[in-house]
Amino acid sequence: MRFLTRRGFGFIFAAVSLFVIGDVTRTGWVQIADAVFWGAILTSALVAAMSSGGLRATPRFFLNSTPGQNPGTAQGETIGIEAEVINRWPLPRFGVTLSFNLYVNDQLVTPHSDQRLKLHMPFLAPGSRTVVKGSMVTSRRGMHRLADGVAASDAPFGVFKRSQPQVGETALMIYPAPVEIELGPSRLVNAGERPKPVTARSGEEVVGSRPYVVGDSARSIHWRNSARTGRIMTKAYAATEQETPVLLVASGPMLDKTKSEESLDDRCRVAAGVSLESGKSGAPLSMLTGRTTQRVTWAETLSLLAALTSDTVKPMAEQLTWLDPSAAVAVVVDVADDESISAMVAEASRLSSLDVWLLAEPTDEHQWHANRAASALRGVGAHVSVVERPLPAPEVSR
Amino acid sequence: MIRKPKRVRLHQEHAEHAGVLRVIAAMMAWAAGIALGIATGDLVIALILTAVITSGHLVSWRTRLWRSARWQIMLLVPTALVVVLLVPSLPQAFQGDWLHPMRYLLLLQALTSFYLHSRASLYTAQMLSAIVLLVSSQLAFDSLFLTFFFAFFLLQLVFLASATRVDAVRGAVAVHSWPNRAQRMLWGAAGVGLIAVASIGAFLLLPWGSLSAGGGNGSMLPLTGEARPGSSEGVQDGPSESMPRSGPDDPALNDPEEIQQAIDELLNNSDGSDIPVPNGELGGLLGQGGTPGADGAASPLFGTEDGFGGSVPGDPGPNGEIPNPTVMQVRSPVSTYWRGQTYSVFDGEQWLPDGAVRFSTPTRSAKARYPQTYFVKQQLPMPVLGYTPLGWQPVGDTKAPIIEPGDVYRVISERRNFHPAVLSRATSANVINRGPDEFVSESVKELAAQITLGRSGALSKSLAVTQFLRSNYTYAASLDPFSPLQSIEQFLYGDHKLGNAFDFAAAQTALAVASGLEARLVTGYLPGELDPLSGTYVVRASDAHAWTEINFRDRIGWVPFDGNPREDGQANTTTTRNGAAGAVASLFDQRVGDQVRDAVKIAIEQSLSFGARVIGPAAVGVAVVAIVLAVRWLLGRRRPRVPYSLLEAGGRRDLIRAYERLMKQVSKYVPPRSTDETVDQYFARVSREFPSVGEELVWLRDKLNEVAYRPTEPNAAHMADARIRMGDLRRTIRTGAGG
Repeated sequence: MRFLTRRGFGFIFAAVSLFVIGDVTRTGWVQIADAVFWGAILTSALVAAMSSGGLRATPRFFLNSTPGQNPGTAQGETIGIEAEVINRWPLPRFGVTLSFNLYVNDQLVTPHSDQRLKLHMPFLAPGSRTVVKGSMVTSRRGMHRLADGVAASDAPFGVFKRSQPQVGETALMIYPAPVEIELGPSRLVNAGERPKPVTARSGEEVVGSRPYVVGDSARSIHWRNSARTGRIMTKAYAATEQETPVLLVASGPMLDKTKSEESLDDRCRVAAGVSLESGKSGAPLSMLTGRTTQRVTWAETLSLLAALTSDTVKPMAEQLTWLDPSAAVAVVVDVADDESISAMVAEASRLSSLDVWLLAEPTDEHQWHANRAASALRGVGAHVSVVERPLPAPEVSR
Repeated sequence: MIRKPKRVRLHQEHAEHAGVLRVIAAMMAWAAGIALGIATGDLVIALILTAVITSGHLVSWRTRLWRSARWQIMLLVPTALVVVLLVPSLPQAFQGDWLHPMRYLLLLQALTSFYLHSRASLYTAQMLSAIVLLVSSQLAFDSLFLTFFFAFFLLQLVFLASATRVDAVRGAVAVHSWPNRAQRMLWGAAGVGLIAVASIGAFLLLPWGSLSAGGGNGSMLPLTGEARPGSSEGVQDGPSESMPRSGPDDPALNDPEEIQQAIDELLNNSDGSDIPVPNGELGGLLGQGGTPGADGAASPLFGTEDGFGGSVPGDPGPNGEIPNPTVMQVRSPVSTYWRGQTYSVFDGEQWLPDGAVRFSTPTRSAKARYPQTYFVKQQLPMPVLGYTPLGWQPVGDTKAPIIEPGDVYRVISERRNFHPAVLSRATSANVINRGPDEFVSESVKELAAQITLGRSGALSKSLAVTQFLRSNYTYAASLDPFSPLQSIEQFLYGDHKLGNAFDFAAAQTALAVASGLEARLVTGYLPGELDPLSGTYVVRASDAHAWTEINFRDRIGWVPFDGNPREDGQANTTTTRNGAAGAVASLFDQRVGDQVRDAVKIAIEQSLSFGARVIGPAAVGVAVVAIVLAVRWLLGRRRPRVPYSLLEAGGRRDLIRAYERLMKQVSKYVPPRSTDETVDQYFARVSREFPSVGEELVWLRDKLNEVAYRPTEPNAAHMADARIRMGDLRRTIRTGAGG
């Protein structure tokens, strides 16, 4: 980052112009006014130069509220951000702004410098330790990470700006906010006999391991693979008993890239709602982890849904091929996603049941798509529900 | 049918929401507007316009979120009209008439202030205000103006500080508060003090054009035949040794008491009725034109019935001090004698004033023109116009011919080349229609012939006469210089050889005419003292003066010659002030930047002269070597001396240097790594010596390994952290805490 700001260019241009005017007109007070400008420039350079180095800033997330039914903070809830700033030099600092980039699922969501999360400290005493606290409303699901910290100062006139990178990072998983779903006559309500509680793992076959996510039981940690890989792994079980319906989220239409993330977010919220309601009705869902289905806890479901990105979610045809024959499937799909709907119609015959939630906007085009998809899916015996977009905003808690 | 809303209220991305910034911008407009009002005398118009600007800011603030409004679009029409009016007045401005464009500019600002939505538009408004203010600054200089002038610049700084704070706070998730109010006040005061100190430093170091009394573009002072410091004028063609040192037999007076005695004697013996004083008989000449000269004939401007000369030092006050009021202040880039009345008619006894003033016809390019602004403090019977005026422009209520106190007018003049080398090639001949030489007495003609014996050129003769008077006669100060003390013969052949400025000028003019030159007498004022703060020459009553002009052909015109030996005639002096203003003004004498600039200028001039052949190539050679060394140094900085890695990355080398410093520190307490010792063993040994920092050392070792040998780009943030931690470690080890 350059030392001289855009405003600084203008200010110095004004000072140089004033210098020329004072030089040409030989008017003492113009020269004095110009000298004051140069004095301000020198002071700005000094203050900006001494105000950013030697700071150590550590950001932290903290929860403002007790999580409700979710295992942690969900979309729409307020989370606290605090940064501890240590002024390591025996110098006062002025106008220090600490800013961080926000990554969600390792995707930068603050590409422009104006969007960075900023914490402002007008004054830091020499050798002091200061904690600044703020808050933000989470609008997206996924692993939120504050990183690329920069301490910068452009006090007092914004003419010069000096920045110093900071190493501290912090992360927090934000779960999708479930949408209220009515299962109605869905087969998920009558999905056979009540399965064992998901916490009881006795008798289940461990077929592999997967990376640990928040919410996983400590008892299911795969210690051997954790030691091998250097990161905490969780055991992956094969479903040996009564098949539970597998929840799938379609990859979505690829035509409109700009809306794909928003659309996926909505599908995840609907999937979370389906999972929640299904769990309440005594028929918890399984999910695809890797190439196998696994019956997961509510926390695991949310974690998997939170971490889902358009890059990681597989095409519907591929997902369906990994399922065992005669599996019961619940799918959340966008009405414009012809590819996924075609795949479901093609594979429906080998599935024991197929519950589909179609996300459609109240436009003529979407309604036409919805009618067409519903009739096609119902033709192959699927149970179809239409969920209207845009979804109700997550309830914001403060 | 869907009815479209009349006004679409939308969030404007770049709208400026901070009201405080608009208030400051409006205050800046007020400062500029009032300053213009003070400068031009039209305070009411300025206040109305600034009131409109304030309303505009208010409307802009209220409508900052509106995408469009019909009345705003309608405002574009008058705005365009003002721009249309402004553009044709710009060439006028370059001729010196800056006022009209400034009023249009203020009007333009008033109109545009109704749609100042963004921060950028606020900056534009400030820029317009600054232009108005700076132009106004050339038309006024009183303390009230200064108040608004500096208020503007302080508001500019306040605006920037507020904008910085607003930006920082508005975009922040959290803002930490100041510890307490007293601390904020303390640091604020310290900041102001720091800016003040830095400003003084900048003021002393910046290489402004020297604010010396010699003028920014040099001077056009009369030629005297003597060398002046820093000037080549008058050096050449001085009086020759063959010239009579003295016309009369008696030597010049030197003793002040003797001079005073001679003055008293002169005053007692003189008979006012014998001396023709310019009076009402010239009334018939008003506007009829004066002496046609080489300057050509432009339209006559104004005449005077009383001749020129009202403001002279008055009678001593009760404490004995002679009042010496300021007659006028002149802002001019060229230091000259301020020419007032000309006298080209000779009646056989004395010189009589001309009835009209004529402007000169330009003979040089527009670059040679310069503006002068006269701020009149005492009544003048006619405007003082300085040298080679091409035109004048009264400001406000100023009207010719009587100039009242408080009047302001501007004069555009042309700078002529009075260099002796140029003048020596020009000619001058006595072709005055009224033929004053016919009235010059034989004795004067005889003396003139004696003075100019062996001299042929006009310049040579002029300087001979000038030098003759300067060498042999004594100047009597504190006497009215605008009327003669005695007749020319009395002055030239009297016992005392003593006279006032008019006597000197009258005699010099008569001698010049008798030598065959076209000459006239001029009254006016000396340059006065330069006030560096306002950049004006302060002309006092004691600066009243009379001198001679000789007309040179070849498009040079009237050239001043001053045969008066008064000491302040050619001296360029600076005013002295008291109090805070004096302290500020004294800084002008201390400016290092000016001295450096002058020294560089002199060095360049010298190097361009004889020594250029030697110094020039040497300087070029040194410069080339310096550039080569600098380039090599810059290129060399890019290559790490220790090739730990082929990959370049920001901070990698710094980190390694920091590590080396740390190891140097460690080696004071722990023997360095031996050749048969692995790095791990060495670090283990260091950790044993410094158990409290052992873990930190291991972390650093791993980080160093990563930085030095890993083929990928190291994480800049990690490296910054490592650097900080190594610094901490060094301090810990130094203080012995680690041991």
